[in-house]
Amino acid sequence: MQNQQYVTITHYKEREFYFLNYAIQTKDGFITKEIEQFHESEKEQFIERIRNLQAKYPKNQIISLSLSANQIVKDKEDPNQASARIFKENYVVQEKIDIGNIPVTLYFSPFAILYEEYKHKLDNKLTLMIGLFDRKLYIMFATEDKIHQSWTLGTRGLTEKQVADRVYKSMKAYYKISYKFADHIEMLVSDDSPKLLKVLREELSMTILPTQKTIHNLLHHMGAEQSRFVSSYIKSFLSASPQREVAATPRVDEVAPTLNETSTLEESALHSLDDIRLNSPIDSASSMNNGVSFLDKMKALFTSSSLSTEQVVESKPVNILSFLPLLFVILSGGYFSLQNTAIQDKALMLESQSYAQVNNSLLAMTAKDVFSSMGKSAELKSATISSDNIELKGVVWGIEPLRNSLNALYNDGEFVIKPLENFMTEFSFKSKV
Amino acid sequence: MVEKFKNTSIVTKILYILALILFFAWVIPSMVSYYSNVNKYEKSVNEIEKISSKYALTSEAKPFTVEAFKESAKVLFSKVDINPLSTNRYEVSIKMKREDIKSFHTFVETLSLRYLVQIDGALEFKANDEDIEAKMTLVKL
Repeated sequence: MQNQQYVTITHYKEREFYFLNYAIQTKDGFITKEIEQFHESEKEQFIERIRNLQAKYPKNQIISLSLSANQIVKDKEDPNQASARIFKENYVVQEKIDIGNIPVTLYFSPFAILYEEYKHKLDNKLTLMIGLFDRKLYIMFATEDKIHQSWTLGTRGLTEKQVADRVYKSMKAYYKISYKFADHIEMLVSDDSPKLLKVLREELSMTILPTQKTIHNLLHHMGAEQSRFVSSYIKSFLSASPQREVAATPRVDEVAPTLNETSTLEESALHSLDDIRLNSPIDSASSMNNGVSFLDKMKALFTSSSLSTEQVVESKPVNILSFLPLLFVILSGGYFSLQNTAIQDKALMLESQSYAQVNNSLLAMTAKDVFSSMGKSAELKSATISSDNIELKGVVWGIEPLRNSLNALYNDGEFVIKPLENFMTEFSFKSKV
Repeated sequence: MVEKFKNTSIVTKILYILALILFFAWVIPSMVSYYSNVNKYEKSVNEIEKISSKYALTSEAKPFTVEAFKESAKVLFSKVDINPLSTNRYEVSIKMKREDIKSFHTFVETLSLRYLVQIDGALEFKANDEDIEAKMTLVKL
């Protein structure tokens, strides 16, 4: 008869350990068994143990908890992300579900658990609900009709005072956008943190009545009735994957009526599991191809950033490593700029040197030609030789050979002779080069 | 990768984007310009070396100094005078025997291969029966 019992198998990972538990669900509540712990190196044994339990108790749900820091509560369902409805108008949304190959049929967000725990206490006054799971604070500002804002704050490595400061800052941040302070605070802690509670009470000057429950018990409670979990578990591709043992739909249909006879057809229709949204890479890709353009993708990068900044601003300190790319770019840019300036100067100098060399060679060649053209016909007395023109003066005794020689070099030159008193002849020659 | 980026803080995102913009707008153009100038420089060096080898000059051109220039010219010619005209400009007067005019031509040809200097304007010669005096203006490069 044992195998006819409905069993909820719960597991989650905290740091490097998997924690596994199962409970026999009865009409009067659930009866939990001993918690088992597996190191992450024993993942195979851990999965094997889940499979054994599944084989032993065919009517089962395998329930786990998303401890992702980047989950947020939105007013609209995002078709590109894994989501779970927790109010009529609110959805917990996270990028995707990645739990490796560990079997899971129901996957909950701490926000859904918080809502389930305190929904009967909500009224029209603003309530701040805080859940402490695995050193993260999941914070929601809610009234009876909706969740107004949510935050996820990391507490790893922080003192209780710093954590309390962050909670206070998130309250201030919410006040800035809504001009409302929470009327009271509810806190659900999954581990024993008396000091944190004490500091929170002191810092916020408010009465906080904590509820302390283990994650396993919270998950067993969530999985106990279909009406409780039917819409609030995070819907992912895992649920619809035929080759995996996580197909939620048939199990829910099989199991739920035995536990919750009161769930009506209307409710089933309202929270129909037919809306399981596939979040597999292929489906994501096809949905992206269908409606999401490159620009949208780029926008999404920043839309997400602005939201997540608001949501988890305190838990995302700027890493010193973030400066590395910029530092690298500045250093390499500076290096190339300096080297470029240096090589430019050198190249400019060489260019000037080449130009000077050409100019000097031309002058030398012209001077050489002029001197050699004198030959034995004349003697040069003065000469001005530039790269544009030449002016020569001297004494000539072989007029025609000199004229011919100069004309051979510069055919449009002006050759003038002038007899001197001492029976010698002076010549002058002007020409453009 | 994209998810990691999405999950980073806004400051980190801004830093990454700034780095990316600087990389494409500054680093890559600087790199391209640097390597293009290196090619240009190497080409010019090869050209100068080729010309220098014609005159059997092996060393690079030195910066122009009055002392060094005067010393090297004095070896070749009878008299060398240098008068500074203004910053980086010098009037040079070289006196030589008539038969040394060929050396003077070679001296002018190779001047910029030995000193970072250039002749500005014209060469002026005055000659008598035995000597030739050449005047020129040199400008430091």
